[in-house]
Amino acid sequence: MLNKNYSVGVFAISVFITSGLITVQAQTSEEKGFEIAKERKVRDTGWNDSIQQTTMILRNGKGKESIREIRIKSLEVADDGDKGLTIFDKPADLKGTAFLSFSHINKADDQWLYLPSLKRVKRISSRNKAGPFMGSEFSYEDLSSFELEKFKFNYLKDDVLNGSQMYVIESFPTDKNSGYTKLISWVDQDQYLVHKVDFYDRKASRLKTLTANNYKLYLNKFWRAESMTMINHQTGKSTTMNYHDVKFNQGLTESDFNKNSLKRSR
Amino acid sequence: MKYNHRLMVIASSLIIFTGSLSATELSGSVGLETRFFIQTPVESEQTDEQVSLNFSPEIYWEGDDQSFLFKPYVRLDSVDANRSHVDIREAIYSTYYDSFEVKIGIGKVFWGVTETLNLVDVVNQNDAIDRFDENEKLGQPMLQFSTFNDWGNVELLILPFFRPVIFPGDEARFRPTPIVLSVLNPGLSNGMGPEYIDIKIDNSDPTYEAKNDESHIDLASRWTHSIDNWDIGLSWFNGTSRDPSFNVSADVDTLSTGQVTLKPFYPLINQFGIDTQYLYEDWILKLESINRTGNKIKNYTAFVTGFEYNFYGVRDSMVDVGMIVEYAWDSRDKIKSLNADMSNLAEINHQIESNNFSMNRNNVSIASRFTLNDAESSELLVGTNQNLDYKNARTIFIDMSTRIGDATKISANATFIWSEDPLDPVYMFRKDDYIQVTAEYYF
Repeated sequence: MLNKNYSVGVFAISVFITSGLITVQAQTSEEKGFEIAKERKVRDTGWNDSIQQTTMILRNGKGKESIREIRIKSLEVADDGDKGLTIFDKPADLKGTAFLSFSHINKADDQWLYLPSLKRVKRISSRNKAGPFMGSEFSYEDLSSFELEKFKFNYLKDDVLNGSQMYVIESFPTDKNSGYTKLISWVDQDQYLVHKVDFYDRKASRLKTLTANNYKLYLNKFWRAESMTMINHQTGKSTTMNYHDVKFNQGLTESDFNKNSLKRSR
Repeated sequence: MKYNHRLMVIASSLIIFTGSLSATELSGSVGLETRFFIQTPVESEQTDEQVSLNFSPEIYWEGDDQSFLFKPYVRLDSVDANRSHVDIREAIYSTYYDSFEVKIGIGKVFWGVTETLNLVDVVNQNDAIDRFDENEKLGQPMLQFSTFNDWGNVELLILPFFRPVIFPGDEARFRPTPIVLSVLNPGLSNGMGPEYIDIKIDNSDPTYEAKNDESHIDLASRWTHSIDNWDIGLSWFNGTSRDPSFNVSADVDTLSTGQVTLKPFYPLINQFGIDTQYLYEDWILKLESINRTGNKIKNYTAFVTGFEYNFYGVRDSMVDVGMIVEYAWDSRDKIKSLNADMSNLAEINHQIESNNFSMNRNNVSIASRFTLNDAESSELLVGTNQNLDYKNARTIFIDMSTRIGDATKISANATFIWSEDPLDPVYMFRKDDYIQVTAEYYF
């Protein structure tokens, strides 16, 4: 776990940053919330590209499981949302289906779906942010890249979660098509990683909880959770994403994320 | 038939070739389909039920910036020998670079944006016998060069071999059936002709305008570009039409037997097409249009246009509902009554030949697609086609699909047909309402 990875140096730096944030006297809770979110974003900048093999386990209210195998290719885009290409390996009837998305900061995302049996690339309306991804408890917006411009922030309190010191911040989506009115996130004070998020639906009642487990360090800089579980409190369903074989700097470029590469991705 | 022999040779050598490669991946599907026709057929020899099996393995090999895909297809049908067929859907080598891509072999290309029919999509022949809709295609030999630029993408296709349509056999449904002559030729049959005209399609020897028949080299090209929420494609095709015309041979025997034979004839055409769509919030507006000319066809323009509107998470559920409304139009005349004395057979032949048998010359389609977004990927599509040229001419269709277990897809489809006017091209299929259940296992 993360707290075993503490080094004195990192601890000292985080105490310094923490105290730095606190000592700014005029800082409002909104400003502090924004600062924490910004630090989270800054620390996860510069990873360029990645490929993740992912197993999704969907559980219904009775505990029945169904498995999906997907590969996620991601390209970091400076000053805009990231680009993502998701290729479906299982279930077998969806094999070769691929989903391309360009996240944007200030406008609706662009999305395309490739249907291999028809050889057809279908452009899809991206206003379905709140819709489930592949029947899972993750919605499209849960999987799109984290951008500061997509939210207004507010610092709530400090808390302890799994033995670690956390900031608890509220995030309010700025996009009216978001399925949420509010997110409450537990961000650790050491590495600024998100460990838990409560999602509140349009009626402001708690809808889902995300927990991220077993953060691992890559390239000495970037932390990625080994698994993430989303529980839907209203339906009892849950989805776990297990990320294995995470690779960075695979030499992906813009040309790996367009309609042509979508057609040949499999 | 020549093509099928070549197919078998290519297929067997490819299996040996790809099997010897190490980094290959095998997948595919096996399907079992049963169809029940609800109404008594027009002709007693036509079947009431049909069972069929299809097998579609896929061998894929990938190297650095290159790949090879081999996908044969076999269907066996309990009733229709014509529907039992073998095809190579794909056997294609691809090599790609950042700004261009080259493919050679038997392939499949999709062009278009609309949902109900794709006028611009003329590279591959429809596998009309496999499915009644136009979603199944025969493999097309091709050399394809594509280039990707800031100003759009360009595809150039050289298509060295043509695939004629496979028509259903005598025992199958959805084939031409006899029509009362006095209705087709009001007031002029004078008791001279037969009571019924029984149209048969003789597919044994399709003819071509091209001198070298099916070996004519067809050319096709398309430019596509996206500007924000707007996608546009301009396409061109020059070569043998995928849609046959028919040579009609009513002769003196016709007067006693009523038997009229249609022989498919594939004219050379030149076609320009445009396909475009615009996304605005939950709306997608779509248009496809073509202009087709040729020495042996009546030149025409056609379009299909409409919209898709999506309701996401209806009533706070997981269910998405998409509304699809499309209208199709074609500048050619609708089928005319015969207007010649039955003794003037040459004129009768000419009049039948000059008809447009398209079912999409003045047609509205309305459908709703329900995507349940559940773990089983369940979907329901309900819709109707209304042919505005004829009174009470419509079809209603329902499609459902879901997954059972990890790898079996179950689908059910029902289609109901109404047609009262013998001049409606769908009239011959008016008794062909059916329910179909399919199970497909994927590996």
